[in-house]
Amino acid sequence: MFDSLERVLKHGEKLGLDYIEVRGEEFTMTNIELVDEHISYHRRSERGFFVRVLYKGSWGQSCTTTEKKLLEALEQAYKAAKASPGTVSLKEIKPIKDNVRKGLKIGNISPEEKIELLRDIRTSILDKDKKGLVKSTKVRYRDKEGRKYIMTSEGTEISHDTDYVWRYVWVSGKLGEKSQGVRDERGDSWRGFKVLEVEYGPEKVAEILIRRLYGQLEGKAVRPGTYDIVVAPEVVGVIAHEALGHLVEADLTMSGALANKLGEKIAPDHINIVDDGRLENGFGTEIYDDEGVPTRRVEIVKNGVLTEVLTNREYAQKFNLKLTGNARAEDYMYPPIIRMRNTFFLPGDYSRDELFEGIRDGIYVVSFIGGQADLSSSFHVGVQEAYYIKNGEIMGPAYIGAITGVALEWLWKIDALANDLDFETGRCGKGQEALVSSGGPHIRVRGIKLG
Amino acid sequence: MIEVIDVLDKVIKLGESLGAEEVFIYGKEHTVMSYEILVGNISSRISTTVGAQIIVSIGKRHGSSYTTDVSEEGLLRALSDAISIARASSEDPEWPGVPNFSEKYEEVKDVEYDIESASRAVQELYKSLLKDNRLVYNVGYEGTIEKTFIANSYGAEIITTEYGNGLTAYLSVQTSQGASPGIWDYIVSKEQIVDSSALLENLEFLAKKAESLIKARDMTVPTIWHPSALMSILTYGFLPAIKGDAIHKKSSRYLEKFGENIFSKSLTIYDDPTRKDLVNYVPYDADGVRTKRIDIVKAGTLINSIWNYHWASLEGRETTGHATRNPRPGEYGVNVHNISIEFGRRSLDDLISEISEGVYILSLQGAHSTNPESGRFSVMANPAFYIKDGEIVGCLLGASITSSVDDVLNKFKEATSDYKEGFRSTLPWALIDNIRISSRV
Repeated sequence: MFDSLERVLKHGEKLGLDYIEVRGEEFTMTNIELVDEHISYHRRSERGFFVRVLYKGSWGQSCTTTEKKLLEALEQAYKAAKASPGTVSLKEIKPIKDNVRKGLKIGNISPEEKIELLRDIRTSILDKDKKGLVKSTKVRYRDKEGRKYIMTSEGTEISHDTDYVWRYVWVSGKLGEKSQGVRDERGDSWRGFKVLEVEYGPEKVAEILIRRLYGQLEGKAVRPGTYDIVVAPEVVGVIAHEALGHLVEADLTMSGALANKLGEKIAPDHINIVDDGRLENGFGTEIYDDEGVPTRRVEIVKNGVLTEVLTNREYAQKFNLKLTGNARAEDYMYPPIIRMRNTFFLPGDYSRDELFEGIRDGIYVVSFIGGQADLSSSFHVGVQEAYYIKNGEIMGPAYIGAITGVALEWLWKIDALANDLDFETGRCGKGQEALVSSGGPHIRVRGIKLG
Repeated sequence: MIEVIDVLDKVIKLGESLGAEEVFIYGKEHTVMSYEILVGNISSRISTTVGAQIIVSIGKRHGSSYTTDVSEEGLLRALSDAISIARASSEDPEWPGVPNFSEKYEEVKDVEYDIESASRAVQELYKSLLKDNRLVYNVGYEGTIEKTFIANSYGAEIITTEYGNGLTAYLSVQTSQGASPGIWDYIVSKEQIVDSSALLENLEFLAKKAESLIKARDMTVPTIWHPSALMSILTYGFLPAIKGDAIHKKSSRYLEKFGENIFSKSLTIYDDPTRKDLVNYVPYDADGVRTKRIDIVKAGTLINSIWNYHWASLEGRETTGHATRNPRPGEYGVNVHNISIEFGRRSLDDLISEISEGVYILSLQGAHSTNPESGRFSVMANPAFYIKDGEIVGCLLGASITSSVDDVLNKFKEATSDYKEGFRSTLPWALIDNIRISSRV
């Protein structure tokens, strides 16, 4: 693969380009879907290239799936860059040569084992549905085994394994006239299939989903009003990711609610938020980003102060920021753009139980189904598991639909963080998919409008 | 792409000789030209990628494989992969086989969008939008040309070309109360877009209004829904219940409602992919079935559901030509191609001018969390604008709506004569009466 990439670099030298970056990727991917009893099994074999050139301050990009058209792709990228001059320049880096292996051995898992996992999940769900409320199940599985390569005109030469496993389970049910669906998602890019088979195996996911489904179908709707709420790590994570994390992606930061706020206090002293590119077993963990920059832990909010934002080489240079290793591309079809990796609130000093103490009439928000935010930090998180809190005790299931608000206002309403820490894994969409983890401890938020 | 077409027949015949009873091939050549100014930085792209999915049946077993190598050798490897998957799979008693149509059709167009004219249009728009109190996040252009080929062991050979280009812009306004919600707009067309004046005029209007931020309060008022907001509730709350899979599985809430007047009598919804002048022109669906206009709701009465070959076969009925495929991940489903609500006679300005107090909803945040079975949703109307005495006076903060799609379609009062082409849609703006807005600030 590096031979092909080098050919592009050599040809590019003749064109007088300021910078050339060629990425190549080859992989096989399996997608299996079990909808009720019906299985569909699909395998992908792909090989492709993405060429990015910088010429007179403008990016020109091209991608191709045909190796013999690689030089043509370079010419196309050059033509695109020539369309108009711009002002892009890149933060300097020390070129690295490395070869990162994960060794997940996904090729050793037989099709039969994968299908069996999906069937076991469905069987476990139906076994645990003692009330007969489940109407339909959908179990999706995906794995990827492959390598990506990057070579630049500056001398970077890195290859990485791109292996991961992932599964998503959706269960819908009905009670009387009320229909509801709940989900569970889990992925792993460092330990492999055993995570789905054992750690988050069929029994566990079935138990979680039946609890969620029954809670949603039987839960009493929350009366509109203002409540003190305790938020569990999974939901804390999605708020960290959607409502705050996106705002600190440097390409968004300068246009949104955090514009010009670097170094300013945006939250109480006890709030600390990080994006850690090297979190152990994080779904978004990688050693280098897709520009060849080493990843690291980024302290986004430290003691309530907005300390750092996530960058790629282009925006680090444009706004005079540090490199963080957050340039990510879904695959060879996409350019690297600034994305989160593993984003979470750091734990506090309270025990989880202490957070509930003193709440007379509140809500415990445990799990979410979809989150979205915009540049003003306004967010919407669908809720698929919640409980009433009465006099400090967790009571029966509550149906609240969604929690919404403005994250930068919410931060000031967080008065306590527990000393626990947990993560969820998922896929983030920003025009292209990125594998991410997000999480945090349990937190308590005062005076939130619900219902 | 021509070289791919030449070997399809050979691949199908070889598949049959290797034991596949049916072979279905679906491939795409995708060309994209884009030009974007993102936070002031320019990037541009010209790309062509190609790939093909091969599905085989061996009795009631089936397998699917996708490859980016569309040479004869590459396709044969994918074929062999699909056959080995089918052999390893268990029988699916409800597998109806691959789509068994045999039409031949060819509509190949040599379309090319000009990156230099596109770059001029984007730069003009960017410079015009850039003002002291604004952060122009991005202005972008994208032109796509998609050539699709379908072939099967029943003799079908279909080649189509779908294309279009669009211009988008997204900005926020810095006010004394902080950044406004993101304001955006788009235009799409089959013709090369070189004139962005209409987009500029609309964005200037909305950005001016966003200089005044108004905290939402609880109120029940008439609302105007932008085509994008309409499409999001149709996508997440209405369409899932009229698709063949939901009807076959009996999870559709409309199961017993076809033929009944269940929505506002002012509402007519149809899907029309046959208009060649629109970007959503789709002559054949992803099963290789000729598309046609389908009336879905007529004057408030729910008339038709939409089907692909798979679900229609299981239900013992004809497909309506609504199959969709994403061959890379092997996704197959049912969807509209170009949904529309019958246009009205009055303009957007006419409708707004008659509202003494109301809300103009540009988009819905969180619409994807709509319950697809009940159609219930709880979303933020964001960005949304406050209408007072017939005029938009400012941008609303913290406006949430908890309702159901059926309730919204019941309260549908009037569509505008103005319309917008968008993703799988050509929709007007809509006046929806008596919507409850709850404050979240």
